[in-house]
Amino acid sequence: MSQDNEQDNTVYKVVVNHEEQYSIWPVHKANPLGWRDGGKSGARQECLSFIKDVWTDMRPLSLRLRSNA
Amino acid sequence: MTNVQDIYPLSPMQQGMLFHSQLSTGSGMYFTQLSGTLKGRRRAEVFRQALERAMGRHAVLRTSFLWESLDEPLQVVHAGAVLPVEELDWSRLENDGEEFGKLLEADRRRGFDHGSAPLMRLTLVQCAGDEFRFIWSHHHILLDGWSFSLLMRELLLDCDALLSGREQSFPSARPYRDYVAWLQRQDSSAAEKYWRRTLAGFREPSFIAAEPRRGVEAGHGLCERTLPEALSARLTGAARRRQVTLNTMVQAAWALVLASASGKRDVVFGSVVSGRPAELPGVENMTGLFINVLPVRETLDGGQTVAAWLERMQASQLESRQFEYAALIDIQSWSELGRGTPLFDSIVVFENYPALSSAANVEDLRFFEKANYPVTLIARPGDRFELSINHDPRFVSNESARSLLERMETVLDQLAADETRTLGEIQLAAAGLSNDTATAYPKDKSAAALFEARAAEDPEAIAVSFGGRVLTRGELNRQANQMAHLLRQCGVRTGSAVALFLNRSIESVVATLAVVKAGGVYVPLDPGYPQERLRFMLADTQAPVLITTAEFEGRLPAYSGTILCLDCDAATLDAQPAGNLDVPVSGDDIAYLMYTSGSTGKPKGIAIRHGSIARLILNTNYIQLESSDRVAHVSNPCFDAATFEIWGALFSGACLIGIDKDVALSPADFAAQLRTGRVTTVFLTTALFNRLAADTPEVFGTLRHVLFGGESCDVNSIRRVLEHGKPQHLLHVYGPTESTTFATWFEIESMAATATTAPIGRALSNTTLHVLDSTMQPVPTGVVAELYIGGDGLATGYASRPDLTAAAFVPNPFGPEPGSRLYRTGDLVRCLEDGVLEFAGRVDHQVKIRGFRIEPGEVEAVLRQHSGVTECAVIVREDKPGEKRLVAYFASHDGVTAPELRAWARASMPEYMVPAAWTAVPQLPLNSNGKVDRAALPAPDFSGGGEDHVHPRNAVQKIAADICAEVLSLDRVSVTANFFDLGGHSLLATQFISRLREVFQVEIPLRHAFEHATVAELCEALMREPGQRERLEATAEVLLEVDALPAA
Repeated sequence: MSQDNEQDNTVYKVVVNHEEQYSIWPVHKANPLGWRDGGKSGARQECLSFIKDVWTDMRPLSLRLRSNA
Repeated sequence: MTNVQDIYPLSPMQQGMLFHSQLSTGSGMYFTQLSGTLKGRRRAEVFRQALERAMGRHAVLRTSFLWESLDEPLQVVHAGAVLPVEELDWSRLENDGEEFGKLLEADRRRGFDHGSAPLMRLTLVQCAGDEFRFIWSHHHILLDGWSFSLLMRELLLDCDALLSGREQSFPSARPYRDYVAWLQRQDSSAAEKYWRRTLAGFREPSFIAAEPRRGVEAGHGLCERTLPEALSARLTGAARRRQVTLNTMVQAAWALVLASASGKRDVVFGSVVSGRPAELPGVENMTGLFINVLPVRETLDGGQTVAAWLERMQASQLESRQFEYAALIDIQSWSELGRGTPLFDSIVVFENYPALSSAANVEDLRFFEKANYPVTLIARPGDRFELSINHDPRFVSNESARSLLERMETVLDQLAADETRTLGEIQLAAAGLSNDTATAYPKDKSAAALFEARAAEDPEAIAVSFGGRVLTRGELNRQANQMAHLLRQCGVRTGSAVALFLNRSIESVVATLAVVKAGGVYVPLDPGYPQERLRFMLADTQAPVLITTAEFEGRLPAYSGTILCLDCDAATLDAQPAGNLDVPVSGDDIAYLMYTSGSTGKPKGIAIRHGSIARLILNTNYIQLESSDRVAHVSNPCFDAATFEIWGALFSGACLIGIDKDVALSPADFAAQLRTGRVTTVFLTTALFNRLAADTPEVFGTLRHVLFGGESCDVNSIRRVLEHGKPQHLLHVYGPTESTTFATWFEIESMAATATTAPIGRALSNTTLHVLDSTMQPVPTGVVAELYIGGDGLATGYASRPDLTAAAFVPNPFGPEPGSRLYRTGDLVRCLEDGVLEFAGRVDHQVKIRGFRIEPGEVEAVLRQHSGVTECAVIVREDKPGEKRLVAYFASHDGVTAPELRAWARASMPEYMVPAAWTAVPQLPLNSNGKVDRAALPAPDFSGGGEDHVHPRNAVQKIAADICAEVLSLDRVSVTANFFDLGGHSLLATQFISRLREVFQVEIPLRHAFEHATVAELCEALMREPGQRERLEATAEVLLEVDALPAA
């Protein structure tokens, strides 16, 4: 990963899937199937910092629902 | 020299061609050859006459070149040069086609003597039926394609005129010297400014082939592709619509193909420009070499639309036209690339001059030309657009060239299609990977349930055996149940982390099973870890319970949770119920957390689901474990190969055979334990495999499955194992912990003599693989890029590291399952023709030296080819800030020395890959996971690295070193220093060799300067010639004596 991080000028956005798992994706590309915007775009590091704040329970949603049932 | 009409300097392009053809005499470089058939003796005679008349009109056809003893080469126009004509009579030859092919080849090999005009000749072959085949050859230095086309038109007109007895007159064209004079009037500082700005920040070459393929001879490869008429028309239409030239479209397509082939987003390739300055009146009718090769740089931004990009490219091309008089060698020196690194290895030629049409009286016209670049892409517009690639097979195979052309067509098709498409959306070819790997396996079952079924099936079968202690499946299940009940009482619930502070033992197996039975997540921690690391991991997992034994309890750092001590709490454990627990655990629950021993930063806990373990073991393609199998437990429980060993045995009803920790480091004892334990299945790290292969290769023959992997493999070790009796299945496996132990596998049946590595193979069942460039586009077969893994083995992420998880587990754009993710491995692989992968190193181990990205693993792979090397490791050290160097460590069984190995390495790999320091070690240090412990390697000795000044050792070296220093404008040079490292480049090499020839009065091929790049090596090479040593020494002595005389 270090290869790209050095000079990664891509603008990313935060994306999230049906299991409420977060990731990042270049803004200029269409979201892959099953992923929606997570409410943030910017430099790679900004997006990752955002995810650090919002993704507090890392268990997949289906697992969380089952445990809480 | 009365014959001399004119003398003037060369154009930079001519200098380059002269230099390269000198360098590779006999290779046919820049040799241009036209052949065809003429009907009847009269036509042949007329063709010859027309050619002679053309020589009279065009000074360039009567030009020769001088370079020896000159600081700058010159061209000489001769008043009366005679066309050499060779006539052959083949009229009685039956099948002359094949012979003619040989004749063409021989003509190319013959080349030209640059010193005597003309640099062209005609061969006329009389064949049966009054047909004449002709070969008209010339050196490219005389004419470019446009000039050649002009000349052909004149020739054909003149032939017609001569045949009908007319006198054809031709307007006199401006001489080439006017162009050379124009060049010298140009403002080189403006050009320098422009090219420096254009290439600013370009520090890594975007090569198609950074290094030559091993064992391939030089030659000339050609691949051609004609685009369909519809596509050709669409391209022309799209260019017109966007007001860009077709040349721009072709260059754009090449930029994209090059980006994918080189894995770079910032690419530079060469473009051939016509070079005819509009301000020189009549320039369009001049003959000579006007073309120039200039760099084109494109930084690809995936977000830009194709339309906007093409527009910008067109604009920058117009701008660069003003500075196209600059010499490539100067531009090279203005660039920020390291010395000696060419700006590009591919050039694009757009042939916009009239094509050679077969004239009425000339048939079978065939044109041959050899250029100097690994890849030359030629585009010829027309109703059906023609693309061809001339390639040097030493760098690019025929298949690769064909694939490049296929991609050109794919990309051109998309450039012509959609106005709003972005660069990121342009698809190149997909790698030939098959991801059709789904099988049915119990993905919803918990690990506990899968073992309990086995225990119920046959409770008396032996499940675990550790140094004489055995447990049946029933006993193991009972003990684990009791521990699990206790864990529940300690507060363990579904998803709770439970630390296992145990070494490899029966207890650790029981505890592992107990934790999953209780619904918990086991976290193996090595009692041997440093306290700081243990403290970090315990805090990171927040495990409420920890299982250990009295032996290790003392090593435990401060811990606030509940400690379950297996020996002290034995009575409590024994009092627990023995039956299976009724805890609902699904395949999606987390089973374990394994910390990666990250080389930098903090360790990360990788969370693996129960279903992922089932995916590793059950109904899979690489192995079918049976209850008769006996699986060795060799791996440290903190290393994820233990997942395969423990659960592989428990899920399949096989017996797990414990191997003592220390035995793994002593091959003989290890082999003995494998035998006495009647082991059938073993996983070995590559380092351990290599060690066993060296010491006890015969141990493998009796085994059913030998799996090895984890580091780049050593073909010699594999060969040894094969020679001493192959196990039933020898599997090379690969996988990051993030995708549950193994992701790929390759069954080794045999090793080809030429193999340099074993592939890591294909995907495991229920696993998908993608080889992607930095924009997540699939790269073509053969291209090294990063491996991404998908499928059921993927971890849910790094525990309490949402940011790292988001960065490493990315959306899967390839489907089919919506919302799925891919894990970025950071591993570099290439997909081979048959769809198997080959490991090529780590993204983050790569180091840049002189602008080249070097992967130490690749260097290791080459070194292992040396028959005397048993083990080796190549690492990057930065002993001086900013100065990264490769250091090689090696162990040898037959006493190979560092200088021998270095010399061998220099002959086997490109200069920039050769390590700077070499250290022989008895054997490489291994860490507790059985991998090479790079941190424990000793500090290297750089004294042999060419750092220190080495004085000349004899008179010949003294004279050569003085000349070398003078040419390089240095005070002195070390005789072991590389000419090119000291700032030498090709033109300086020419001067250096030229001076040496003068001083020593010997013939020295120019290529010597490249093949023997130090003064010491060069002198050695000269003195090796028969009889030369004495002569050279005598000359040198005299020269030194003269030097020592007081000035008169």
